[in-house]
Amino acid sequence: MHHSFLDKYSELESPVHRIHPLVKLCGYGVILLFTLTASIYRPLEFVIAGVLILGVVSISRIPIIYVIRKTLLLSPLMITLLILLPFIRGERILWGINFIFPISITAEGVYLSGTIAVKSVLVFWSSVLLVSTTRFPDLLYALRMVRVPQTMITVLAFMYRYVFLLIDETERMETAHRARLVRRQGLPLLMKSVVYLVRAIFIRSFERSTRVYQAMCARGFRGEVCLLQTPSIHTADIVFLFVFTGLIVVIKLAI
Amino acid sequence: MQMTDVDRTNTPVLRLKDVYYTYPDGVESLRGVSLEVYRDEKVGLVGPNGAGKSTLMTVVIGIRIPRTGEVEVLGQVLNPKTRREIRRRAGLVFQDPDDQLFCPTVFDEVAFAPINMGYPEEQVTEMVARALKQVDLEGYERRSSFHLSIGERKRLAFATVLSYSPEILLIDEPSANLDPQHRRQTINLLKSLPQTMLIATHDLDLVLDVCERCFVINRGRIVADGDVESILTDEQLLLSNGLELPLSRQ
Repeated sequence: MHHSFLDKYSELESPVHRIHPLVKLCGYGVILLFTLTASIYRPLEFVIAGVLILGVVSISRIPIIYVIRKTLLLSPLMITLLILLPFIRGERILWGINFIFPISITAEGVYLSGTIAVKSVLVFWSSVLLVSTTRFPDLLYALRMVRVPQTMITVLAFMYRYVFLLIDETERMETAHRARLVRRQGLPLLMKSVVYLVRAIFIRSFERSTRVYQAMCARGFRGEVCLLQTPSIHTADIVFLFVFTGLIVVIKLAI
Repeated sequence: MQMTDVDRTNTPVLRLKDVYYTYPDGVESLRGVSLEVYRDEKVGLVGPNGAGKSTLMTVVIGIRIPRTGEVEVLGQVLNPKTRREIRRRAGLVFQDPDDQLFCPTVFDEVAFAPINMGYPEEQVTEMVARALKQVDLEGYERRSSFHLSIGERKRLAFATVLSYSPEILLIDEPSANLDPQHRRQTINLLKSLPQTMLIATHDLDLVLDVCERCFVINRGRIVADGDVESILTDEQLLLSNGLELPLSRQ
């Protein structure tokens, strides 16, 4: 397997990596709350959130370019929003045309699209930061501590474990398909091949999930994933959480 | 059925009597399988693809329920009431480690069975450490299982079962997909383990190296039972059952 893992940089050594996963999850919640309650009419809030996130990224020794490059994953959604939202109804029309029916760009639409775009990027950066500084099992542990339903945690754990195998199997089938391709396919034939591929992936996934379930039953599984507890939080972690939350509250009140 | 001398004076630890298993699609995978394995024996189960080897392994620990026949493990007849206890005392190592390794870390993986079997936390930690030492994976506790090589994953799959010290090991294709060096490591591991073993494989040289006795299974039936030397040098028997002489005997 040669895939880039979700938590590619999670094994690095840095002060951010050493923070307890539960504290990181809480800190993530605080920064999310700060970002989501920020307004486009007070742009300084966005600037502070951005600087704060990228500052922590640089302390954690994760290349900033990696975080920014990951943001490109958002681009299809962002482009759609940036194109469509300015046309929503509003009071202040910035530009308009009468073509079959009236079309207009409103100030409210522009503000909304800007707000959503900036907030999406900041939330995405925070998420990448959290996942890149926390090993996935530790993240699951933190989620369990904040009482996320066990079923959801189990699903996440299985997804993390098997998504790469699924990608691997897809790649193998795609290679086999290409190897038998003697000339360029037309669209109908291509669509047919894609349907066969999806069907094969579905069947293989189903078969594998059956085998995994059998392996779990063979080792005493009775419907609930039981895990051992991991070490408790240190005083330094709690102090860090209070200082960080306090700082965010002060910034919020000051602006 | 071809038979040779085997010490059958003790009570068998594993006994199948006239076991039939049919898959939901109607394929009859086991057709009247009867066999006995005795304590401390290392027994091979050889046969061509689709002979019913893997099905037999899963039937023994109650993952698949036979249509008819009786399975007895360590004196307990397999039924829904005894299934849990049987799974505690007989461990199955699957052919593909990716089917067997599903936890986020190596530690969680090895601890999965002891935790589910209700062992206390301190004992689980000890069991994990001991199992990882047995398969030479000490220090791997915090790593993710899918970051390991295929050879390491195979050994980890063994550790997941060795952690709760089953008395019987059922091992499905232990050398599948392994390079020669990892195959040799696996053979050495199998030889070093004290448990009673039933090893399903195509790798006849591995059977020659590890086992004292072997069964030949074909089309869901046991067609031969005897010591490895006499079975695995019988070219006629092997050829008629989709096998051939081991490379070391050619």
